[in-house]
Amino acid sequence: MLERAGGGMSNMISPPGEAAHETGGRQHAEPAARTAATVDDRLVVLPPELRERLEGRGYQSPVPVESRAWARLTVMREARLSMVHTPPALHSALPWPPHGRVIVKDLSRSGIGFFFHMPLFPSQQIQIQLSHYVIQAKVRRCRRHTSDCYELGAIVTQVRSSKEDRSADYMEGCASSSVRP
Amino acid sequence: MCDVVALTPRELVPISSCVLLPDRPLGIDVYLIKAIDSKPVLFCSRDQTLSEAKLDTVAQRLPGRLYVRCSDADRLQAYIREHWSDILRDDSRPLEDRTRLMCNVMRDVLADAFASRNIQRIAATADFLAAESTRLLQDAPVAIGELSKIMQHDFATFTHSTNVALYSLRLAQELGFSTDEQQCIVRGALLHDVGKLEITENILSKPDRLTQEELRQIRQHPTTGLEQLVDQALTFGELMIVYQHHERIDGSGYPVGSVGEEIHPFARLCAITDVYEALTAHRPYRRALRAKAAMHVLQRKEGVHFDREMLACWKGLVEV
Ligand SMILES: [Fe+2]
Repeated sequence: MLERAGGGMSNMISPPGEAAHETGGRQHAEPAARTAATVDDRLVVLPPELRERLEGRGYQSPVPVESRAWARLTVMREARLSMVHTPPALHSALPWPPHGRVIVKDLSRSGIGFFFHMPLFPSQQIQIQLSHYVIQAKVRRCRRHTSDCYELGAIVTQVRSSKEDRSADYMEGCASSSVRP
Repeated sequence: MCDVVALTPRELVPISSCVLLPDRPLGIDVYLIKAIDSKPVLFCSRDQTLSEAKLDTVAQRLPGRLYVRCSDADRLQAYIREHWSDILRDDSRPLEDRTRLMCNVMRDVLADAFASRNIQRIAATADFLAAESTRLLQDAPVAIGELSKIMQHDFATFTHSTNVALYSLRLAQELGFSTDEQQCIVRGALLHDVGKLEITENILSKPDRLTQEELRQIRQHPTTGLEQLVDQALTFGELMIVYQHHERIDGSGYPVGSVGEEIHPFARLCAITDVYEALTAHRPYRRALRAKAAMHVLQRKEGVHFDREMLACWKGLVEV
């Protein structure tokens, strides 16, 4: 079965500074300049009102439940994002770092929702390493919460396990709670 | 040239005399109707050519109007497309005639491309139309009121896209964008609603309130458009017109909710012309507004939905 975040949501939904401290990343009092396309290890900081909504479970996903093929498991834990492919025409946009840190909000057999400190465009291909799973996905939507917090949805194209082959567990874990198989 | 033919006006469609070119047979019979109650006469047969002098006479004092058979309308369109550039570049023809022809041809050609659902063809068509329209209006800026008179104002996506493209060209000229940038803006504007081709006509023209699901589909069109076009030979700015034309300065737009300068300038520009065109067009769910009323609606959202400077510039153009 898919691993759930050990300490629940509050572990990941923490005020600025704390999250970076917990995960061993560098502190980030100021948002880094977006002109540098080098490694940007910032972890997205969720705005307080979003944090409260997520903790209070009063959060409405931007995609209505009835339009989803599969139920989503709430995850709320940090993961590593790598950029896999950006269509050339979009290259002149923000210089995305090759790697970054995200908070995975939820995932299902077909999709993954996460928070990132930069916007991504639909059709960009990414890879998210969540625990021992490597999830390849294509960005489908992006919604801004603040200038440093974007909520993204991506379509899962492939799941691999970085340890042993546990992608079957992943699929089973997601499928077991399907709304509309 | 004066044979009366047994055709009723219902079997004929009017054409502009400016589509006729010297020494190039149309391949279509052209008829002349001199007055409302007169019979059509054959003006120029399909294999006949017209001399330059004859065309001058036609342009200056043609007694009546020229027609072709309805069944030949497609052939005429093909002829126009083939010789369009030559006609538009012919300075001896009045600019107004050429602008009218350009409007009509842009609309027709775009309609055909949209109907094909072939994204490569649609992008190539937009490229060609953008080059020709930018060239024609480059040194001869036409007043918005004049453009509006020439334009069709129906609800079809290709009509809306053509009109938005031409309005955007005028605004881009006025704002001082370079010719290359103007061309990009026209290209992007012609394609801005391409994602709507995936939405059923029932939803697009629904006069009643849209359901949540219908609204979601409509709001998906900038994203769909970007995904469809991202691998075509388009620039970043052109893609941003497609993706960001429903964003608003205050962040209340969609799909992302980008604010201020996070929105590409081309998209901020097209956001203005898009809404202006929509307000002044006939829609199944409301009647068209006049220019002044439409401008009033836009101005209420100055600096909120729309870029303040760009809107001021657009206002200046509309009020001329
Ligand atoms: Fe649109």
